[in-house]
Amino acid sequence: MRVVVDSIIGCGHCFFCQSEQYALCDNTNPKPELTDKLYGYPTAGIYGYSHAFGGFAGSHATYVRVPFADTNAFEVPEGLPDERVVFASDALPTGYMGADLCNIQRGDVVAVWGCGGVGQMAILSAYLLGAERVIAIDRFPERLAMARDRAGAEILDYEQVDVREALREMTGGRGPDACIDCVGMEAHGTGIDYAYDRVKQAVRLETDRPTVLRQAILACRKGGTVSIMGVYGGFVDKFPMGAAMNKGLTLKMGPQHGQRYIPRLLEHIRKGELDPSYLITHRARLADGQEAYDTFKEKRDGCMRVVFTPEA
Amino acid sequence: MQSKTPRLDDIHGIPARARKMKPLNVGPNERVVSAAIGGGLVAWALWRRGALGLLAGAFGGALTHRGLRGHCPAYEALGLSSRKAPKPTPMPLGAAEELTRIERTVTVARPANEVYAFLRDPAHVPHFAPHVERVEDLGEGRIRVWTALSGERSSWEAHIDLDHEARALVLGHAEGPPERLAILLGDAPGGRGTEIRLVLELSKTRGLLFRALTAVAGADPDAWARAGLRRLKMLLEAGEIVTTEGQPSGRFIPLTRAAA
Ligand SMILES: NC(=O)c1ccc[n+]([C@@H]2O[C@H](COP(=O)([O-])OP(=O)(O)OC[C@H]3O[C@@H](n4cnc5c(N)ncnc54)[C@H](O)[C@@H]3O)[C@@H](O)[C@H]2O)c1
Repeated sequence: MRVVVDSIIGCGHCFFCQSEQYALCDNTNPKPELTDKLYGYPTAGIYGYSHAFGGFAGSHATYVRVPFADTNAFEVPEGLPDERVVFASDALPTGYMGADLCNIQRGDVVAVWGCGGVGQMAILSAYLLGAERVIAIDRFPERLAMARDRAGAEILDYEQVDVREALREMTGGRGPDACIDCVGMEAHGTGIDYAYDRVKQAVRLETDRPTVLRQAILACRKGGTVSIMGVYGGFVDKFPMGAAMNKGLTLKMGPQHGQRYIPRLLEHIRKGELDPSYLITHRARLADGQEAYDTFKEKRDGCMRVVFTPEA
Repeated sequence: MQSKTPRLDDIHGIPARARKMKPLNVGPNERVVSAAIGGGLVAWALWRRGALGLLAGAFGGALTHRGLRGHCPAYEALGLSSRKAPKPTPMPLGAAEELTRIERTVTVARPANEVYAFLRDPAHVPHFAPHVERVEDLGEGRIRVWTALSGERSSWEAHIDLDHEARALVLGHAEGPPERLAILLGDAPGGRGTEIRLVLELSKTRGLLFRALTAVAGADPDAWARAGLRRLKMLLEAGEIVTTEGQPSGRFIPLTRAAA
């Protein structure tokens, strides 16, 4: 039997797991002290992530120990190749949750910032959940091309256009009904605020760069939803609270509750309604891990996702 | 036996870490007046100088501080307040407490009778209480707790002061100043399980329980309490304690493999 294991660990029994908020699990972080202090309450354990989230070893290994496997592992339907289901562990449920949090209605236009793995999955998911149009924003030509050709989005290159003005024009002056941030605290930017954030980060007055978050809040139509899937770790500056408040926005965010979504995502994949395998641009052996990681990190050679094959 | 049966309401309150030790007790108008008069006195003292000036300066300074800060030590000593504020939730023990109180609460998604039954079994205690090796039932409401830290073993005897099915378990001991380890159970609202409150009353002067805990928890019995409650919750909810101990790491290559 093959399984997909969610990247965030739930115990399946606590209040949060019982209400399908697995990534907020009370019981799976063996090192809860840091997030308890920093965030007020500790959050769940995550594989191959920071020690603040438990310090669980990653999954590039011959064996992986999976706590609470009955909650966290999902059987892959017969006949589906590994390539099609591997992203059901993280990028796919993250993108899907980003779209799900938007409560998409008939005729909605959704804007997605970031065309990485998570952004691509958010585009596909927004369509699955009934979006009329999806507009995707990034600056890498190959990623934008993928968003257009494989995910069916209209695209905007933020180095060529003023994103807010473009979105306004493309939506009949209304603004997108929902905005999904699939970039997070390492956003890159072109404006003065980007320079401001870089300086403040350099002198440790700010930890995260909320370029995209600010843009999404200002671009979103009145009464719309901003869904934040890109990760933020600490503090942000110049947060446009006035715009969010006076436009009556709904802000939704969080680590992905994959266990809530994986069964239905596998079903979409089985029926051929969803195929995330186009994210794979590179393949490597585990022995070439370092090089593959460098390629991925620097987005060299059009790299989107590398898949390791242990035996190859 | 020293300790009398405690009343549950007396045991748990707002913990010290959440209290302001110098609460506001001067009303807003009086604060302005106090600061104004104090400021005037200080100014006059600077002009007057001499012994009288010194006296006026000190008094004026205190008045100013009282006005700015909103807390008057004299009022506090007399139990007075010129602030029209509702009385806060009663807090056990005053500011002059001689006991160190540690209070920690956790909610567990399990019914109170189940939590109680689990806690009441001495064999379960070592699984969640850090460094507790064994709890021995001596009969007649007495127990002996064995602790161990890196091989160093010690034990202390306690008696059960209160054992209230699905509500409370309070331990005390007969030696030295009175101390207490209380576990109180309450239903969480909306069927969310049980709120477990752990209250430790430790005497820093010759306290047996204090010494026993510092022997295993160092200077931080509060961390011991938190870790214990967390583990208890994991056991009750998830049935196991999650750990990453023993997992391989790229940073710390095991010696056996490095040597091979
Ligand atoms: N919430 C969760 O549970 C969860 C899970 C997985 C990943 N994430 C987070 O999602 C985010 C995206 O993940 P990914 O794997 O797709 O990352 P990625 O680095 O592959 O993609 C990010 C993309 O954003 C683009 N970008 C940067 N600045 C931009 C800007 N100003 N405007 C528009 N686009 C911009 C980059 O060019 C890049 O293509 C990360 O922050 C990641 O940590 C969250």
